[in-house]
Amino acid sequence: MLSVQVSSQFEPTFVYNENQNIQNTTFRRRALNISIAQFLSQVEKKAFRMAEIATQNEADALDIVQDSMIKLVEKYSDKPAEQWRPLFYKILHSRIMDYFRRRKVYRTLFFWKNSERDDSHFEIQENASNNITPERQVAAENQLRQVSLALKTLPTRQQQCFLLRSWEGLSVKDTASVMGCTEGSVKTHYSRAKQALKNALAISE
Amino acid sequence: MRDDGFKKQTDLHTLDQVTETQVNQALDQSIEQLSPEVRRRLNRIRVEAVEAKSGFRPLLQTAGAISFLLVLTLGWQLWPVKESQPLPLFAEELHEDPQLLEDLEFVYWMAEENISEKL
Repeated sequence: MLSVQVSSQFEPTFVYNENQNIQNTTFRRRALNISIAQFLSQVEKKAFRMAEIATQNEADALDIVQDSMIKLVEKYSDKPAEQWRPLFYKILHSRIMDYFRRRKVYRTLFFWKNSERDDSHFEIQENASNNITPERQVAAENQLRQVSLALKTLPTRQQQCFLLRSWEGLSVKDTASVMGCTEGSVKTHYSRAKQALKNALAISE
Repeated sequence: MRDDGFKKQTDLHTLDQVTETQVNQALDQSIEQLSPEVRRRLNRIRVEAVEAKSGFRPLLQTAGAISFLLVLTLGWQLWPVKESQPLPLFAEELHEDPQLLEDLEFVYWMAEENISEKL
């Protein structure tokens, strides 16, 4: 009898009796699909929020997350599981940068059109939890609004650097790999982002 | 004065940490407050991304199974059925081999001769 255990690091381990040979590629592929699905379920919400903070548009953020997931599964699912996180965020960051490049080209070509920025990000979102009281909800929304505004004011690279280093907890090395810059640049962006956020939140209080 | 400078630096570092913690907490809370629609779409995106990689395989298997059944059905319909012929009788087989019969008769005759001499 074959059973599949997925560890906290998403690496599938195969448990089987001594007589069974685990050369069955069908079983191996199924275990890998379960493993990568679990990984994606862990990162999808943060990835969406990162993309939404950058793009200020829910639909665009979902498209970016979708593209990133598909790319990871298609191209890198055969890599070791410990590489999935930095790889996924590298793809996500790349998609966000592509989004800005396309928008820049669009605005250059169609400069006479008004920019239709979607401010729905700052509107009150539907409450997904039934346990949040109205007071808590208002307080949380105010805090989120302040934080979102503060993050929005940051240059994109500082914003992404802060989210990757601080919120997602990537190392300096992994953050540099994701952003395609040096470790020194990561430290600089991170330091400046923290300073800017501190100033912005201090002003808003 | 040196102590004041050190204290000021420490306070600034603490303030940095407080700010960072405040921002991260707000971001964590924002995830908890994602709308059901966004959650559903994220779920669907994830499932489709994983299925897209292995999606070709079930399709291939289904196509293979259908093809196999089709071949089986056509083969059953078109395969010529030969009428089964009755097995030849043992006697008829023997009859076709007269030498065998003669040999048997000889053996029987020898046996009878032996018995007669003994008697």
